[in-house]
Amino acid sequence: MTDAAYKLGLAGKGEEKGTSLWMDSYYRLKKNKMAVVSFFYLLLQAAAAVFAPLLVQFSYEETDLVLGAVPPNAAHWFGTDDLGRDLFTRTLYGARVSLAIGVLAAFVSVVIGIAYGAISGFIGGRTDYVMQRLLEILYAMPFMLFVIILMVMVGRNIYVMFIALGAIQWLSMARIVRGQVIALKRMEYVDAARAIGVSNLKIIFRHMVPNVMGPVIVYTTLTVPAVVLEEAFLSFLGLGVQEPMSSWGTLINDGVAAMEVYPWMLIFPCSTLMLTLLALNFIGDGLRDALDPKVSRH
Amino acid sequence: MAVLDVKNLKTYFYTREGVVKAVDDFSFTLEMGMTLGIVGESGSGKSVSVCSLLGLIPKPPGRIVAGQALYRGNDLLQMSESQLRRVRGKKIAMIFQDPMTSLNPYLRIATQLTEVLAMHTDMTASQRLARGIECMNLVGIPNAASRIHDYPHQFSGGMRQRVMIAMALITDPDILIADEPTTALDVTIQAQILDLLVDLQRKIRMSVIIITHDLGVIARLSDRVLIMYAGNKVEEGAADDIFYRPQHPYTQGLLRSLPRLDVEHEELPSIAGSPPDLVLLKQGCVFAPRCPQRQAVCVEDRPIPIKRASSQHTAKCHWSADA
Amino acid sequence: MSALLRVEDLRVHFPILKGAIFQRRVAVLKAVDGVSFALQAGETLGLVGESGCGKSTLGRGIIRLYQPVSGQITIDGEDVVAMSADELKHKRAGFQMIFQDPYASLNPRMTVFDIIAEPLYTAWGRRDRNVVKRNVLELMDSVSLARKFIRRYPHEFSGGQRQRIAIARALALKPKLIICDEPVSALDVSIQSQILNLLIELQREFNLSYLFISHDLSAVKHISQNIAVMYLGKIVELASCEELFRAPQHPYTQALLSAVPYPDPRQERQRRRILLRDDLPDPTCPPRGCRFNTRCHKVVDKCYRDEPLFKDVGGKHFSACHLS
Repeated sequence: MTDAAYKLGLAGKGEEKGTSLWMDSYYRLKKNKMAVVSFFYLLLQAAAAVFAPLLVQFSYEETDLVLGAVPPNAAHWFGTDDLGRDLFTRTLYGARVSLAIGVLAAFVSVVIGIAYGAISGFIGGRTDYVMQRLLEILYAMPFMLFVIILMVMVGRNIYVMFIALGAIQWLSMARIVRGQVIALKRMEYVDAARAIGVSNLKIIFRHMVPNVMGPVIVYTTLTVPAVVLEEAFLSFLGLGVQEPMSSWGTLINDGVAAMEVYPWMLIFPCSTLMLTLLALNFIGDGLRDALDPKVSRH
Repeated sequence: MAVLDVKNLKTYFYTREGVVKAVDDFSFTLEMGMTLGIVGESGSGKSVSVCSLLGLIPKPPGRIVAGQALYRGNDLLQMSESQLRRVRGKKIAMIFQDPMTSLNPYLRIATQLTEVLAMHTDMTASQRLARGIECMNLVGIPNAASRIHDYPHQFSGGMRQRVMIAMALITDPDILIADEPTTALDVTIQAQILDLLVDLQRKIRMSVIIITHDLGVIARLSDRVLIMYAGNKVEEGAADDIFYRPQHPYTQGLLRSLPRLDVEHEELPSIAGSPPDLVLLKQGCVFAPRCPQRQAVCVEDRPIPIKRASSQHTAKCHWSADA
Repeated sequence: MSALLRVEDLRVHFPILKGAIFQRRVAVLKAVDGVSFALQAGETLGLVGESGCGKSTLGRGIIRLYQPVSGQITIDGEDVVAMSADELKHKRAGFQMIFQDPYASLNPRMTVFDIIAEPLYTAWGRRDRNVVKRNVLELMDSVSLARKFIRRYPHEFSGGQRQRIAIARALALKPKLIICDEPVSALDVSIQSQILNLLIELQREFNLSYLFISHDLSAVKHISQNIAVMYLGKIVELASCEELFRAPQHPYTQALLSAVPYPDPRQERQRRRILLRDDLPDPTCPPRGCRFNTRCHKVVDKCYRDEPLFKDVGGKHFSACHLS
């Protein structure tokens, strides 16, 4: 930087860096121990799922009928199922399907939900009315039934399931975003931007989207567990992933069948699912508290 | 005779950011039939102090750390919630800033107005209704006998505030606490309500505490005035003393900085700076960072001597001009 | 001298709609219903009135945040109502607005730099960041905001400082006219005079014209050369500041002036005031004849029949009352 610039005070010396609301939220989230623990747990779980082939010495599909079902021991940490497959391995591979479906479906719901909600809320008037009524009609449809029929018709295809589950999750997201956008539309800083001559597109992206991200992030963390559960439900009905591929849903399904004889077949997949759901909920709660601007404005 | 005697009240809020000393030094004596005005800016602790007396602060994060509040010889701060509720409903009544949100839109005025009578007295329904109509007449609501059966949305803002006042008066309280009673109202409606309050006090013997940031309202209503700043009572005295012989630099600065209708002035000498963050309060006088008369001792000394202009007029300042 | 801002017979109406797909108009809220006034360069016109009188709508209508139904707005010789959206975008530099609530008028996720630079980037397009930054720093100087705060966020400031940021943003494009919509009402008493003084200082420095909208007569009196009093969508009285306070002509102005309590206990004990009856009537169906006839303390028969004209009662003192 030149001397002249420095004299004008452009060098940035002595400037105090402010804490943005994002940083503020981050600090608050960091103080929430349950959320931090949950976050690291999920990170570990995701990493283990991704690198599953490197981590385990057993194959998820190879059966060992001679071995059969054995309770947890040093070699098989979660025991084996009635076909002699290592349950730990299968749970890790199951995480791949379950987590992927959770994240992807949540992503699909965020994209559709934000676009739908923001358009409906920002344009308002008649457009908003029609879009909201449409949303209500979709709400009223038994979507699980729709997904089931789709799965039966198209066949058990994992990608169809991804999209179908995402497509039923965006409704609430759209409502949340619309509500936020309508509230933000009335904020004076939006008027202020308009008075300056900022275009509508820029108003949406600079002034509205950053301010709706809080609720969206929170809701997304709560969508993931919902989708994971739905996948488990579909697999439980036998409509999800196909044998020998495993998901938590199929594992639990098998576990229920063998519950009385080989209880570990139910206990371990169930606990893993439960821990993951709990972790996601803790993160969601933590984020909700951390992102709430009311806390920092006293 | 003193109806309410408050000594050294301290109310702190324990938040994530630190301890907010919302009220750090607050005392007053309320005589029977007197109107006390409590003035302060937002965050000065004027509302919190009075709410603490009635057990109306959220706990946690709030906590009353110290103090005593004798109402007819009984300490309000030591009372159980149920005892306090009896006092609050019956003997000490409160009206709030926003008449629009203080009434339940789904219930008739009659129900809301006389609810407290049903709780605290053994009056019959017709007696309660009669008392309700009487109170609505008292606060100047025309056609009270028929309007008492209306719903809140059928009343205008000014009329709703009258309903709120009627509701406060219905148990014949000793003390009426009005927290910013006219702030949400327009000037012409404010004038009506202020007039009503003056008028009521002439008719009924009760003590009134007015909490507001508006010195004009205070001048109109108060016998005694208490000035709050950053959780501290900085000055207290008779209304005339405060307005014509202010001792504390904050009071002086505040009065000088007001644009006024009744006085011609070229410039407005304003108080520099802004009110302090109550978490970051340092030792010494709370007003020191903004005080034009600041000396070394103001910044260093925590126990600030009370300057007495007279036994009735005190200021919490090292340097107040002698009376 | 020609006026910087001239408003003629301006009307801003809002239809009140019922039903959704098949909307029908059940009423029209005539928020601003035939308002005319002029504002000279370098001067301040105070606009007073109670809530619901249309003063804020008028301010927003002038800078076209709302679309007027009819009437003319001329700013610096150019007709604002006739401008297309595109033209308007370029002309917006000339007139700006300061809002009431400094907590709501600043985007909480933008830094001071982003906020003050937004009008600059909007008007200039992409520019060398150093040029923009120099401008932002100079603007911060002119509103007495320490330069070191440039990277901070709104929530780290007090109300008064936030209002300074908002003022700096309004000044960024060197406007000639600033609409101040209750700029001190949300601030603490001890901060209000700081902001009033700052506005007066800036006016002298940059030869700004203000339309100062407020319900607070004391603040309006301090800052304005001329004052207009609004009631139910119309200006009922317009006069120079001294004239209006010395000899108010319209009964509404008289009542308004007498309703303001003075911070002076002795005067307060002796003052006689005009108390108005009732509240504001429903603005969607204002009374026939004079709009003030439901509350007026001087009302006569004629007031129920004819709407009074807004006429000069002498010395550029206008009043809309049959009796003045």
